[in-house]
Amino acid sequence: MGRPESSASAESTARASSIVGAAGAALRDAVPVAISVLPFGIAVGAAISETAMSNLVGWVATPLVFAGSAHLAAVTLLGEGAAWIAVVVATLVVNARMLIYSAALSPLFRGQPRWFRWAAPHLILDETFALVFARRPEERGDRRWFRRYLVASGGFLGVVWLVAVTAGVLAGHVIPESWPVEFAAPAALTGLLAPALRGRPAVAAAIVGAAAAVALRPLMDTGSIIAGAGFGMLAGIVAARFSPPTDATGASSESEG
Amino acid sequence: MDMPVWQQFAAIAVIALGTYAMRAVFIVIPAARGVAASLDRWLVHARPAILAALVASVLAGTAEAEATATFEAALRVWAPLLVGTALALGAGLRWGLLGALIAGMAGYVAAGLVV
Repeated sequence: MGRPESSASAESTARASSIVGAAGAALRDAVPVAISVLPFGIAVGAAISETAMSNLVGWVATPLVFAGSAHLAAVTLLGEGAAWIAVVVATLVVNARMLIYSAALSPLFRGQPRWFRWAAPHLILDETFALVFARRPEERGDRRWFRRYLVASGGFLGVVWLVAVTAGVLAGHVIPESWPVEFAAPAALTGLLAPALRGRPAVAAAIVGAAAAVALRPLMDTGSIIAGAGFGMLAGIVAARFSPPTDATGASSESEG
Repeated sequence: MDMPVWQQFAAIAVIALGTYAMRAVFIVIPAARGVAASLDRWLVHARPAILAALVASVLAGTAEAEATATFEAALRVWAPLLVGTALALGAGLRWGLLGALIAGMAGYVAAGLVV
């Protein structure tokens, strides 16, 4: 007892249209984001080629870590000769917002195939998180639609990111000495910091974090970054007690690879 | 002292695994979502604190690498760094990452030419 042929055909057409629709929407949404990701990726690549760390290791981190600010932080710290544990802790603290993204996205992964639940978290970025939540609830609530959308947008941004970092690593060797490539990393890190400065607690966290990192540098060298971040987080919590609750919005969704 | 390549790779591997774990934990283990809620008040301040500490430390490290014994030498080193960072911050607030990169680099170069 099969279904009528016309009904099966209509279902198949609707399914194909849904697949194309989700992937097409993902690409349409991701292209403007990719344009802003390109120069950042090139800056990260240039930073890799500028530092003392191995270019190969710096490049391999691109698909493995797949998070721009953490990648840049790791490259900068490894290039400065920071202690192994300081590099790992600082970078993971930078990426700690992924915990919030993971918690927020987990309902959309309910009922998804096992391969998707295990593989797709690697595609969770600031950008894909923002893109998914910019779509209508009925779209992202459709399991198949969400699956196609996340794979298409995350995969596309991943390819763009890899191309950009590779170009930066290769170009880093041919850029003349007089070009200010050494400032690319601080400029990019500052660009990542700016959107996170929403509200008094975030500003307090940043000011105290920066001041403590510089003040403790003579005593702790690059370990002062972790200590500074700790003081900064504490300052943020204290400032939040004296600010309206809407001020504390550290989980930024601004552009980043 | 530079870290051996295998240690650099090991650090990257641990960072990649740790990042994956943070991305996947509440998806693969939904029951753990309560932990994220309890960490929330710390995590919202982690990003500005660590990024600001990192920027300040990189700037201090860059300045330390140069000769800053006299006021003129210190000005020559610090002015481009501070102007570039201030412009990157201002542009980043208004135009995002791309604006910060362009404005920061332009400010750094311009201040370097002036001093």
